[in-house]
Amino acid sequence: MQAILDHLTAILVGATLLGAMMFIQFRQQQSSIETVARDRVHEQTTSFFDTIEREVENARTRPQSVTGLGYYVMEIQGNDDRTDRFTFTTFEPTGTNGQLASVSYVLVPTGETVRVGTALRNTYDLERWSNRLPASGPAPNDYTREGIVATDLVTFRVRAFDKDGSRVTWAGTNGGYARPGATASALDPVRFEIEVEGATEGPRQLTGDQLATSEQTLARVAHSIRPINASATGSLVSGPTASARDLPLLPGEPAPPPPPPPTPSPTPSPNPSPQQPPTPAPSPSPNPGPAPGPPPRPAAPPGYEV
Amino acid sequence: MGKLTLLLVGAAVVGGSLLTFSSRQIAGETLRGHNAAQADLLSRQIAESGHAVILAAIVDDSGFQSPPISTRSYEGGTYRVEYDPTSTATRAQFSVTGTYAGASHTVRSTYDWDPMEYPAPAWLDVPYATASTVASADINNAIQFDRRKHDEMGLNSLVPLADMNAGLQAAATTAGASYSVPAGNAWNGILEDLNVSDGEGLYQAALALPPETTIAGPVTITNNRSGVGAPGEVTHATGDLTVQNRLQGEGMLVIDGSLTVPTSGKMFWSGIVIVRAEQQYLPVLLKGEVSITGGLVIVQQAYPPGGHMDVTTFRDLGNGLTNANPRGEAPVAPWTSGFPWHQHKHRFDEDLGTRRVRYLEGGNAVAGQESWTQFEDTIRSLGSEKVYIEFENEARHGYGVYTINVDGMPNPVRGMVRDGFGAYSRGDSHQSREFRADRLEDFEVDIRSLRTLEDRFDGNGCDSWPFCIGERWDRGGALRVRLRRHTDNDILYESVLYWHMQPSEWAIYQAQEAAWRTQIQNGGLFGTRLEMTGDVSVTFDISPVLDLVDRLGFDGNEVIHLGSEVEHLTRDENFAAAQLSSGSVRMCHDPTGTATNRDVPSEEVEENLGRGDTLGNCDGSPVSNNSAPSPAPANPANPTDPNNPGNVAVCVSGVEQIVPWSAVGGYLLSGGTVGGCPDTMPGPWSTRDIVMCYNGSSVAVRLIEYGWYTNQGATFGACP
Repeated sequence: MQAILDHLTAILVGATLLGAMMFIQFRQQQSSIETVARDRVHEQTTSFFDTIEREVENARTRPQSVTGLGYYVMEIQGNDDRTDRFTFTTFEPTGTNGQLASVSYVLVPTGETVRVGTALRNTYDLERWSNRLPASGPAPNDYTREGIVATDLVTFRVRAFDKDGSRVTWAGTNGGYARPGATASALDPVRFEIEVEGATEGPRQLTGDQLATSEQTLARVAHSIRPINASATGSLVSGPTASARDLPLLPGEPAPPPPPPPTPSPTPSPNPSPQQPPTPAPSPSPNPGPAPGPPPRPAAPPGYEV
Repeated sequence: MGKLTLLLVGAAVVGGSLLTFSSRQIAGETLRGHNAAQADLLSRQIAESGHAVILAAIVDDSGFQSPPISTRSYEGGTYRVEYDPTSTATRAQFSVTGTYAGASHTVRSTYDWDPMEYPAPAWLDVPYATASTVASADINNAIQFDRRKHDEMGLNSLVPLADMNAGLQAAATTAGASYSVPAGNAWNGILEDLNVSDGEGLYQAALALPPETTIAGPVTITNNRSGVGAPGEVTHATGDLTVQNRLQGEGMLVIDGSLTVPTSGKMFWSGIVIVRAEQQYLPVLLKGEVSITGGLVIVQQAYPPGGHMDVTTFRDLGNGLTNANPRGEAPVAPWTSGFPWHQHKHRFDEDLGTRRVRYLEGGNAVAGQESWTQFEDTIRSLGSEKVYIEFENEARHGYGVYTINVDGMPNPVRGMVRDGFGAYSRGDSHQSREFRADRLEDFEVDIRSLRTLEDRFDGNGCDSWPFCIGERWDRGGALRVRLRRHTDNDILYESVLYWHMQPSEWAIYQAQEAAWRTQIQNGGLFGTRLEMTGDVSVTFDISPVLDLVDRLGFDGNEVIHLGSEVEHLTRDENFAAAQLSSGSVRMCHDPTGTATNRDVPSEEVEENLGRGDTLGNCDGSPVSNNSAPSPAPANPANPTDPNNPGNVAVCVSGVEQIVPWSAVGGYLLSGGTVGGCPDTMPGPWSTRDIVMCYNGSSVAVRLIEYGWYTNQGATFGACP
């Protein structure tokens, strides 16, 4: 007892220091985990954004797309808060050459949520679909799924603008089917605004005061991207070219209704019925009366002409 | 107690230090990510800026040329240019790679050159022409005849085209030129770059703005007049021009009437000379010494007279003019109920003596016109409401020239109706910017040509002209001058200008035309007579024509962007591509100067990037990765000067001196290097104190790196 009392001051000082150090260490650990988590989600988000940015930079114009693919589609489906599907034509380099491909990014809900700040946000995966000319064989009529290119997204928003600054949601060549509810733009986009947000769960072992603050586990990347070909008036493309064709079916797009059956041409009956006498033309009325004419014009005032 | 306290405090210090180290490491990772993002962004900007610089550098009046630059510093980074050697004057292919802190962005583009087309050097837009030349005349290139007037007037039965062509062909051959008669529909393409449809259009465009120089005509030049006009300017001779003595000038010379240079006369003109007349006979007699460098255009509007201009006005300040309400407000005197307009003036030009519709002058009504235009009354009724002016159906422009002046403008805006408001437009080029109605000071539209308003005749497709102007919402496609409200774009006021003939006038016109034909058939003077019997030279040169691009609204030479590709590589991607199997990294040292390839240890990459070096080969070619791994660094050989045994070169504060080997240690301790002076002195505390000659550069290396550099072919000591 005497020993404890003798060292009471030391014990109190030591315990306080130890407690403070443990507290700082714990906080630092939380902060480190949060930072690492944020860095990771930021890296993942920017990595995906880098991919889509490169593709949009290489987006092709209508004449280039028609030359290389046989059609042109630029479509943004969704609403102001979320883009559900973004389709455009880009150039895919392969070795020293490359070819055009129509690429469609489709936002797919995962059914899960993630806490961002104090709110729960739905998370999405982003799938990539594409349509391109095969090395041989006929051109495909629809898009092929190429897998998931990004996960844990909470925001995917694309806006396109034409040279006059007007929003473009759909622009494409005719053929195949119409886009229901979409307003076709005669002008093609010359600038895109793309915003991507990714989020992940932060550390859950939080103290009371930490719970009152927002978790910083959201990574947001947004750029305004100008396709380098926006000013191109020519139709020069690298790689194979295609003749004009209908728009391929986008993922989830209902198949176009079958064309109406051709009107059957009258085939001669093997046993033709006796020809009916022609119906006599109605005889003109003996007194048809005057044909209705324009209303009478007012007379110009004296001294003035019309 | 003291020991325990000391122990705990010590533990706290150690723990705190570890925490600080950990925090700094994490912060460093975050910073690295930010730096990479910044490098990506800046390399993109550098590439795009460099691309624009190169595009401007490779274009001149004759097409594309190889750029005089290859690699340049730009905003802390560099851009490298590769110009495809297969490029020609009409097609350029090049790539520009921007690099910043290891990231790179490449733009590869293909452009075509579309030179300005011009019907050179002699262009005849006349209904009929004869020519006479002598061997001393020299027409460089071709005489081009626009046959459209001949066809439209149905002249073939009177003066057959074939006979005329034979005569012009012979004259052209004598003058060493060819002769061509492009098809009528070919002229749209030929004149595309001039933005006119015929010679009359060029004439009207030249006079749309006040000419810089005016020569009152008819005039005979009896003295020596030099330095007339200037490149890019218009000189207007307002009547027949005869050069008895000497005339020399530049730019565009527009002559209203004939041009005569007698044997005693001399005329030297650099630019375009337009000779234009409405007379039945237009002589262009070049008998003296004449040199035209640019082009000669002869325009003859020898149409029989006929018709007049009507102005019809509609207005509805309350509801606006709409498809369902084309007539608008009820007619005003002298018209009574039932007339489908607000106001109408038949034979406006003949009765008022002008085709200039003056809507407002100095903010006031224009006497004699206001009663017909009702414009000042409209403006006054609108007060301070914001409105704007619009031209509709501007294809039927009548070569009209508008002038608008709003209070506060430094100068009135003036231009051609067909071209719209230019910089004063609100987006749509044929809509002006908005202004408060009571701030409008001046507004007028001056119609220069009745025929290009196009016919809107009674009995010609519409039995009730001009009634149907008022009944039809599209006003029959006639030129409309509108006033719209800014807030809702309602059409408040509309003035319709059109070429009009009544059935009775149509009959008179037919008679006049018949008489005109008879006169031609009887051998009366008709058409254009071109004589080049002196020392005449007409040479096509695009340069003085290009000088007129801005003044006359030509398209000029055009560069067509056919297509581009971009490639972006992050710092990490470039690092991976530049890494050799030896473990070192290929870098380009001094890319804007000596541009030397170097293989450097990976831990030195950041430092080299900071000096402006770039990852990969200097020429952009892929890095071959088949070099053998470098052996482990060996101990350095004795770095003494073989030519001076016992001594060695050291460098202190940039000054090289030979010192005994025994004294080297002291120099090294004072921040010097051994082996001479490197291209870049290391810092005072740096351990890079051995200088080696490596790939033509003197570099300072660490002792531990000495063996590696030796294996790479480097030698001790600074490069000679």
